[in-house]
Amino acid sequence: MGHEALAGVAKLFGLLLLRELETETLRSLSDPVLSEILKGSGITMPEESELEELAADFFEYFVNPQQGAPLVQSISEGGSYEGDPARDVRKIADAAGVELDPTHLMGAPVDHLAVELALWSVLVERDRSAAVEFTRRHLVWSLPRLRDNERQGFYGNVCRVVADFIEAIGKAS
Amino acid sequence: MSSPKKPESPIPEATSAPKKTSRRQFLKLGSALAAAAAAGTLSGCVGQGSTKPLSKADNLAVWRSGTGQPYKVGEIKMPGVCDLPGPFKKTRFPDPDKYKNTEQVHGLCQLCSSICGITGHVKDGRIIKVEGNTNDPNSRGKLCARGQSALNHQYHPERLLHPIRRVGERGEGKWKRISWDEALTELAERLGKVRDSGDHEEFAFHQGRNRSKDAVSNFLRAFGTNTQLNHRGLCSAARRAANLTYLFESDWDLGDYENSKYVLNFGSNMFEAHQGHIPGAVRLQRGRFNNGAKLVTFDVRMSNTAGNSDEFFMPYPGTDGAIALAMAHTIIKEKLYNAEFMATWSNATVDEIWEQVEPYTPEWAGQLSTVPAADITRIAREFAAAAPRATTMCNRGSSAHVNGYFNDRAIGLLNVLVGSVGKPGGWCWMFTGGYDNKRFKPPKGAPKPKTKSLLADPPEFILANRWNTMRVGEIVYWYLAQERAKLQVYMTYNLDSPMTWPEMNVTKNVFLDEKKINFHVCINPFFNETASFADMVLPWTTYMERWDVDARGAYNLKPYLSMRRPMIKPLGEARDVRDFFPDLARRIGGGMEEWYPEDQTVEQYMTEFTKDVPYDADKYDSPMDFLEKVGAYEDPDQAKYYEPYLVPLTEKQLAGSTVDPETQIITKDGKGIGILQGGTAVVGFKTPSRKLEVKSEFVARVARNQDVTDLVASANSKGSNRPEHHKPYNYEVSPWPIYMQIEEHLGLDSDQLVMTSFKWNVHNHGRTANLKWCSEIVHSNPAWLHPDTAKRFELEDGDWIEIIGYRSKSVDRCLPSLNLGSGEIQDKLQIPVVITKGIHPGAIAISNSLGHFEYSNVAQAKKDAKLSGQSAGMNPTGYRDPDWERNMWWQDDSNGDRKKWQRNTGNGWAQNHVLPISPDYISGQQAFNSTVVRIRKLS
Ligand code: SF4
Repeated sequence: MGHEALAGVAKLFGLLLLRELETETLRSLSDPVLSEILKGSGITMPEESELEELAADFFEYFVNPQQGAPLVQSISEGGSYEGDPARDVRKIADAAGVELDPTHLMGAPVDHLAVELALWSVLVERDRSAAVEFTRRHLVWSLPRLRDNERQGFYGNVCRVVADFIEAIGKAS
Repeated sequence: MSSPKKPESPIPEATSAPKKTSRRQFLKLGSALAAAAAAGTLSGCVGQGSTKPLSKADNLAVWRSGTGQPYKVGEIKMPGVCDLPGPFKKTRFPDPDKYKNTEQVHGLCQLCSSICGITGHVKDGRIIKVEGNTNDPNSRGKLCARGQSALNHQYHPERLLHPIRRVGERGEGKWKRISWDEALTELAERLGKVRDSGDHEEFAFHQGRNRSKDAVSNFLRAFGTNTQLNHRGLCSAARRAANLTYLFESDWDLGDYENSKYVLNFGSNMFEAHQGHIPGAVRLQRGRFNNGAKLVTFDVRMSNTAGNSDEFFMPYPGTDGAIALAMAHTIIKEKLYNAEFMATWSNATVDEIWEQVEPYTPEWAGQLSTVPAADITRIAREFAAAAPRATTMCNRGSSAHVNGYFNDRAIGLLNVLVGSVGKPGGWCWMFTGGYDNKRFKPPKGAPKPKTKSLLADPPEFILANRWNTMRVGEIVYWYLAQERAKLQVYMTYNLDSPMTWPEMNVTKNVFLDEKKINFHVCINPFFNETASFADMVLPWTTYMERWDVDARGAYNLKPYLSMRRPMIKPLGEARDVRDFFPDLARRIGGGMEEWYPEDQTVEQYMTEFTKDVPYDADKYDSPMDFLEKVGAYEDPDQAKYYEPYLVPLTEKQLAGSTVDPETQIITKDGKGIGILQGGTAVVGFKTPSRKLEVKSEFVARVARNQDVTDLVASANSKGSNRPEHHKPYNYEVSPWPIYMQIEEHLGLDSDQLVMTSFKWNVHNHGRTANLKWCSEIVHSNPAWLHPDTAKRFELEDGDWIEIIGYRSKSVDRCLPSLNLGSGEIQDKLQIPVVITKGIHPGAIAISNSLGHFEYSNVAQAKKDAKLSGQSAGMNPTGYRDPDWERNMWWQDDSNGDRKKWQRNTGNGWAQNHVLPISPDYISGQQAFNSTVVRIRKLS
């Protein structure tokens, strides 16, 4: 019970970490009920006029290669792209019949946290023990990365809340 | 389907963060998301997968197959990570399973211009090892340290994987990610406007290194611009011009070192860095070990090549030509020359040459160069005695000087005198600098446009574009600064000019000026210094992710052809120009699209390109199949390019020809085809005289802007008149190999020295400091000073100096129109010194390659990204590279305080702060090694 709901949350977080907030997504999330709940969860939705500035934040926080910031497990654990986590995620996705289409992933490596959250959302509805194992192997790594307190504003909040989410799903398992 | 037993929680207890969002809140959020219409637009980035539930067996299999075998070694699980001894030392080395069941994909390295053959071992979609391809006829399976660091490059954590667009001021460092669609739409619009303006040449493509020549040319030609810029002037222009003066046919000498008995090296560092580095070094060592070849080196600095030579002399900078001319003097005076060869193949007689070289005595050269006259004489004798299996070898050490063209002309003369030209073990060349492009042609591309580009063919430089295109790269930013040209769109490609071009501040200022460069798009696999001054940066593929047909000067003296092919899919959103130029051309339209068939993939294009490559049909399905399995093709039946001038003309060739009774030159339809020698009609040299051009009327005439149509017709190979826009720039240039004194080297003050530059064996000029294995070996580059010099300045090892660089008096006198002057350049450089006898007392040497201010934390020697000075978005936890954290010991924590600086820490110093723009008016060569500097000790 509740797995579908959590799967939806994981998908949303995956989306927010995968790409810059766009007008369409912002409008969808600005539904009064939803935005109130998001606010209660710690995420205040920005104004449309802030999107350009937020895209620059997104670059600095998640893309800028010089900061070593991309939320990629292989980098976080091993210092290079395409380490063992990438191989493992690919195998898990294969077994689950999930296609990791680079176009949809916007070029994100398969072990980017956004992709891993999305994959978790598929697993949790299918096989809880697999999802638990997946959390252990492919989500928990991100906690120190998400918990750093130097990210500000919208994406700072998203990171903190995603960290809470990963903790919550981990503890509940 | 799910496990009955509650799995253990993977989350460690008691992480403390205030006001955490609870599971209940997440459930509520989930329900709201599901209920809201928003759910439709918020689908995730992966699909739902198969509907089949995962069986327990599936599940277990997944986890088992997903565990880190076989790459897991101790705590470190990464391919490309060197496990050094220490707390995490390897416990299972070598891993017996590591290379089992790998797919082997052949390709070509591109970490320097030698393009050695490589083989990637690919497993689970990842390259786990790159080694030399033993089938490559040029590099023969050998790689240097750079090539061995391929995985550092490929999987670097700081690779740029997405197109980005600046959102702040240019150079401010504020960016956002954009999609390829957005990037190409904007680019097409801007390039379309350039075409509409009619000033096509205001779109410049500036390559640092381009091995996809066909793809780039097709795009630029289809667009209609000739402003394709390169770094030839900063590399080898003088050497090429000197070779072309003698040969016309080729700009590149390929000493037959493997079969040689004597190699006379003027400042080439073949063992560390050279355009033919590994292929040349492999053969040179074989020549030494197998034939007992003697290697004698003249170099201002003790390079690894110099140090590994049989004899090494340290001449004063820029005097290589004087030494060579004194050797020529000895060879003629003592009648050690090859009289028969000279009589047959030199266009000047020995007496005429003697008239030129008589004043150049060994004593005179000894005084200038500080090399003992007796040694110059002795080595001249030895060289002549070893001929014809004797060859000179030279490169930037002799040619990257204000007088570089004449230095290399003088060095070339030695081979002519002893008759080793084109002989086994002698001074050789090839009819092509790459694959045989008469035999293998890329699919038809757009024709060359007629537009005139001032940047591509600057009028002051006599020989830069007379035979081949040798762009005078170092004046590009100066021309823009002087408003002699402007650019609407500037596309940089694999270019690191802020680090490698002289006068970094000139480059930076031009980059920042939107009036001079209206829009700058940078194509690079990393966010380098060039990218930091761009408006848009496009993530480029690595050389392990793209296609090319390629080859370099073949040291086997027969042409070969190699293929670079993708070993894996590009990471992230990286794309190659072969992939996105067609899309961009179609978006620009206006006829450009015609050159890009809609339905042709890059692989299909390559198939067409290589369709004529012979293959053994018993073993392979097609040329592509052969190239895939072998990697390279060399014609086993082709003879080595020895003595090509002796090839007889056929009756068919001779039919309808005439012979000039005076010169014996054979002409057909107004064009030279050969020469009559001893009654035999042979091809001869492809020069105006059909002989080696010791005296070059061509050079003297083009320098004066006189018509050389008759000479070009007689050569019937290369060469052209200078175009109309060169007309105001006329010079008197000697047709002979002479010594040209560098004016500014005379009468130096006691605190002045000549600054020279060099490359390391683990770095190229500006693109390898991001490789952690290479940077661990070399990351710091104090200036080299001789102990006598250090004593004069009261310097000790590790003391700091300030360097002021001066522009060249010679350059200013020869090229007044550039308005360079001969004064101090703006920047100064503060650098520590290392005191060593391995440098001439009159010189100071600083390496290039280091001192980056972008290009990854590795290149900046920042173990802790917090020190990068870019606070926005700083992530203190950052990425974790256990290898980097454990082994990165050279971070400089002195924070600019010289007293606290520890030796061998930091990321080095960029020499180009004090390196003046200094082009040779003849060839356009940047004089990297002639700079007069003033130094002072810092307290
Ligand atoms: S010499 Fe080294 S860097 Fe250059 S192509 Fe060969 S292996 Fe690569």
